[in-house]
Amino acid sequence: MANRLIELFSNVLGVELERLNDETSPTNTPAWDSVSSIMLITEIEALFEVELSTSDIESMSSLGRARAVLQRLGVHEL
Amino acid sequence: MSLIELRARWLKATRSIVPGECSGEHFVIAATFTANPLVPYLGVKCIGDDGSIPHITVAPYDQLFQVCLNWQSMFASHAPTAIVLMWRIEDFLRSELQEFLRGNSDALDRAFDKVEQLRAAILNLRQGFSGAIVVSIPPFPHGPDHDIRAARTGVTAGMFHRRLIDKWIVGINDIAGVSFLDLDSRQRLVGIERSGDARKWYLYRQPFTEEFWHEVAEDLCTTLKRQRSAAKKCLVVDCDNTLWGGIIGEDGLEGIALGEDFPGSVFRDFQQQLLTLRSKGVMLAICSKNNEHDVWDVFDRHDGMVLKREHFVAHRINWHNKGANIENIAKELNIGLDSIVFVDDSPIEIDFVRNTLPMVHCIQVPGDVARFPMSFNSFRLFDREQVSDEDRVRSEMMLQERGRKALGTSLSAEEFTKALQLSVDFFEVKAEHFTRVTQLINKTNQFNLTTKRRTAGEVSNLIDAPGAKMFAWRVADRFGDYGLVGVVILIRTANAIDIDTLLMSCRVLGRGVENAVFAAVAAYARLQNASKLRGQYIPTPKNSLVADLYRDQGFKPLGDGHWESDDLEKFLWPAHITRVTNTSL
Repeated sequence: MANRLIELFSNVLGVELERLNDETSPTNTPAWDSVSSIMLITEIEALFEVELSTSDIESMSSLGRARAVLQRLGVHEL
Repeated sequence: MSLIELRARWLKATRSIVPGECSGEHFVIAATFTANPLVPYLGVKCIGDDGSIPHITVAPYDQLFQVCLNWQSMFASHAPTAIVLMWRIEDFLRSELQEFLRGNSDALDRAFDKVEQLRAAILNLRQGFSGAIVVSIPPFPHGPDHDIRAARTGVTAGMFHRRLIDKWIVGINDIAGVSFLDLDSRQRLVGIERSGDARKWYLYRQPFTEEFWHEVAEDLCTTLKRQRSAAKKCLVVDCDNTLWGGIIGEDGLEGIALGEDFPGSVFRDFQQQLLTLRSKGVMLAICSKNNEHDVWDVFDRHDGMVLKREHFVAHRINWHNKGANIENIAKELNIGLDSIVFVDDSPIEIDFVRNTLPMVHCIQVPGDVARFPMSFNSFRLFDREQVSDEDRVRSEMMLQERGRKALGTSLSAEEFTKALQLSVDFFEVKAEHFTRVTQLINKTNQFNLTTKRRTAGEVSNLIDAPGAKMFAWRVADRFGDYGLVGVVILIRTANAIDIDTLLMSCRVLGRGVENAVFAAVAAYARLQNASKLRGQYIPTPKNSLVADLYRDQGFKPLGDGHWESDDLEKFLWPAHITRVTNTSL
């Protein structure tokens, strides 16, 4: 299944698709630093056309949790 | 391209860079807030014509002073070509603003002190750094405890902001060679609501929306490019439905729209814009398909006309094609077609000029004329970093030129140069000449031996550089003053003087002024006990005019465009030119 969210993470972080999974987080991915956090939020909001609240943003502490937030916001074609 | 596409393009471009490759442009951005979102937009806009990708570094958060004072060690691996410093009142002067709003009477003075410290740091940077420096004008502070609507109380954020930016602008203008990035105007244009993102501010100390950053990048890129490219010089306008509404040949003097009511008020505003541009050195010209007397009738008799005949330096009012007419105007004014902007309401004329003269920038009057003045205002290619005295009087000088032309047609070339009663003042460049000298260095194309462009900072550094000497000259004749028209930069080597840069405005070509310049340069070389003069010709598409200059002046070719002369006595000041000496050599 095509996965737009994983592609987005791969593009922003510069990490190959196959090395990304739901466990990917700032603690196990050096490329996910504070600058790329800002970029991730910008790209997620633009691609999925959502506006995240600060608590949504703060809870996106891993790729899997980002997916969960988007699903909760009604984005299903991830 | 959408913002998301721009960002993707930048990511892709930067991923292709080989790590460790450090050459070309390097922009350093320092801000009192998180400024990283600027990078992709600025980067994509500043990709060079040759595809070169600028390197952009965002300095650590809130380190403006450190960057000003320690840029050499902070960026030792790749020297910056431009340093951009952005600050906001909400960050840099937060406590001062809050105390001011609570009525603390000395908060404003403390804010002034801090701004002065920053100004001093920038002055220090300007003295040591040769690249471009851009500083922000801080945007209006719209924080939670200061309301933009609270205009009726005396103590407002608006007043604090105005007082601060007035002082800031005056202070920065005192330092030659520092440009502004006007975040305040940009915030007003985008709108406060659409500029700010409170979530990102609280989460990341990043105050702005992507939309705002995108516009800021546009402004910044224009400012950076302006450092090294010439501003447009001449605006060529159509008449009917451009200078006034309607067609004079059909509607008559009473029928055209021009004055206080719509749509005449639109054209009145456009004429005001032209008059302002003229005061900043832009030459105005007319190119229209009309009976000439109809057009002058409007100028002479319509009381809604803001512009007068004498505001125009050239006109082609006839039924020939506009491409040929514009080429003719360029020839008459002795300027390149690429420094001309053409405005017309007819899509056919615009299309024709675009196709026949692609270097001319064309602007079409929009169908809804009410949008015309504002959309014309958004065109920034006439902007100059600074306006010199020569700019302000350029149009008058063009009129003097007409007198010269009339004299020239009645006399032989030799009689003509004698009859002109030329005088040349050759002098060492001082700080007060920076603006004009930098302009000449960056825009002279034809009489320019090496075409080495330099920023204001680089010019100012040359003044104090050991072994370097910079001279300039003014030329005048019986018709008037040409102003400061030429620059020569000399570098002392072991036993010779190298002519690093030699350029002259094309306004004074064909008068033998270059002979006077070589005489003065040779005199300086003798004074320095140099035995030789050396020069170089670097060909460009535009400077073939001076390909043989060194040969004509009796220099010997050394090959590869280098020339040398060891007979410094033979350069004589021409008899037909009076030497004005304010500075002795």
